[in-house]
Amino acid sequence: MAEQKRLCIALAGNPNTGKSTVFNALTGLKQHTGNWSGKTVGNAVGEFSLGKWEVELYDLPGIYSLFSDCAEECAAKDFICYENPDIVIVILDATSLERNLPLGLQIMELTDNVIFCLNLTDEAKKKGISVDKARLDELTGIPVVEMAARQGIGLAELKELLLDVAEGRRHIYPKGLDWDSFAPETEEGYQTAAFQENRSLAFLERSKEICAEVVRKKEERDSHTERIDKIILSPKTGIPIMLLLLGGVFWITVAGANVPSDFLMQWFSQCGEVMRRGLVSLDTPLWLESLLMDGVWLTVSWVVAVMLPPMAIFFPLFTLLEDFGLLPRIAFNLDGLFQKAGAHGKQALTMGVGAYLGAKCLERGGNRRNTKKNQQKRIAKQGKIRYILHIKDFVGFLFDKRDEIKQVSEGRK
Amino acid sequence: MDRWKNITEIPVEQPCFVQEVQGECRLRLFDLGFFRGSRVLPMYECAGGGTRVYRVKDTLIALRNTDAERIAVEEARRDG
Repeated sequence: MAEQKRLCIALAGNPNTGKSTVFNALTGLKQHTGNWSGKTVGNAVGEFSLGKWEVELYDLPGIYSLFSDCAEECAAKDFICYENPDIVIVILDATSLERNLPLGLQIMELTDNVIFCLNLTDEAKKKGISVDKARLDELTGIPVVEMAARQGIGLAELKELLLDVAEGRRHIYPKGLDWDSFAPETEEGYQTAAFQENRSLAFLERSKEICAEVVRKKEERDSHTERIDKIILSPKTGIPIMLLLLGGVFWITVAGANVPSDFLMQWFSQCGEVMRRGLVSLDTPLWLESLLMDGVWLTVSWVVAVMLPPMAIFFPLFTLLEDFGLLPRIAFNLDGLFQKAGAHGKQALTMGVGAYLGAKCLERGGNRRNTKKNQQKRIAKQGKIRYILHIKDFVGFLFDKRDEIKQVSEGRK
Repeated sequence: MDRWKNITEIPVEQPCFVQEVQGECRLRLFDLGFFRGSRVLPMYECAGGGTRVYRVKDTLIALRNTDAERIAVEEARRDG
């Protein structure tokens, strides 16, 4: 048939397992990926072609379980339960399979067409963790694709498998849980907290059983991180180091930003002069010239020159801290004190950023160390004078004194 | 049952096994790995107290004592 058939596929999984990476790779859409849990809020939709199929791919927000009441997680849960996607791809983190598998097991109860995508296999290899893919397939009845989505490994295999399932060449027979083992005695029993607990535990226990057979770890602990944690997370050494780190970041930003800031300010004022001369030669009315130069251009130049260099230095440094996993550790260190104030440790980070920005603004506003200050003052003063003149110009025009005013302004140029 | 203690009372580096979890955020704690039979190891406590870090299911999870005191555990032997 010439017309294309449509397929609806959903990407489900725990937060931070690389769902959005897989989504981007399949659809080519630039969906923003980030490190915070719950980064994908609401559903993102993309399209791609699979053979003669036109696929609608839904990237669901990360959830731990279909049974929770969290608002973010409800969106994902509702989609899987009510929108009936043709295939559900469950992205599992190979480095913590036991935590990821319960969701996969729960989804298996809702639909047969489930595919497990074992992502982050590159991370798992680094940590010495290996997952027996064949055995996992055997125990769950679900086909497993090994992936390292960031490197692009496994995507072709995934597409092939999707095509096989869509065209009926591969049938999936999930080996679900035995619900009789935790079903309540009565109809009302389904509403009780005890049943909900038993139900959750059943999936967690089954996940534990499967992982005991399927996951092999070389080392007992990640000794490298642990050695660092001993220093960073202990109360006595942790807080001084943390203050040093944060102080260092702020100092580098302040010290590093001054030179570019000055340079940018100078460049803006030079360009401003050229533009002003151009406008004057075109005989633009004074009010328009002032609006553009003293209003728009001056504001833009101040904002960019003052804020851009610090931001360009600060945010990459901050992201570096995050990549090293230092931000949650900082939040933990401060949580004890913040608790006593009725706040939360993680607010230290937003407070810090806010305080820094405020200090930066104050510093620039009352800047006395700037060597170009004279030139800037002159420009600012000129601007003020022009403003006053333009108001007069306007008023004079109303009172028919236009010629007089124009003479005065021409004299001042 | 008599040997059950509150997880907040377990000293650092003393492994223990979760026995029972109560409270409204029970299911959330299950998802994080704190359910019956899980091996938990308290690792660090923050300055000023009130929050501790536990190693559970190969991950470090920080819990405030107000949430953690709902978890009843039994101490394991050092090599347990």
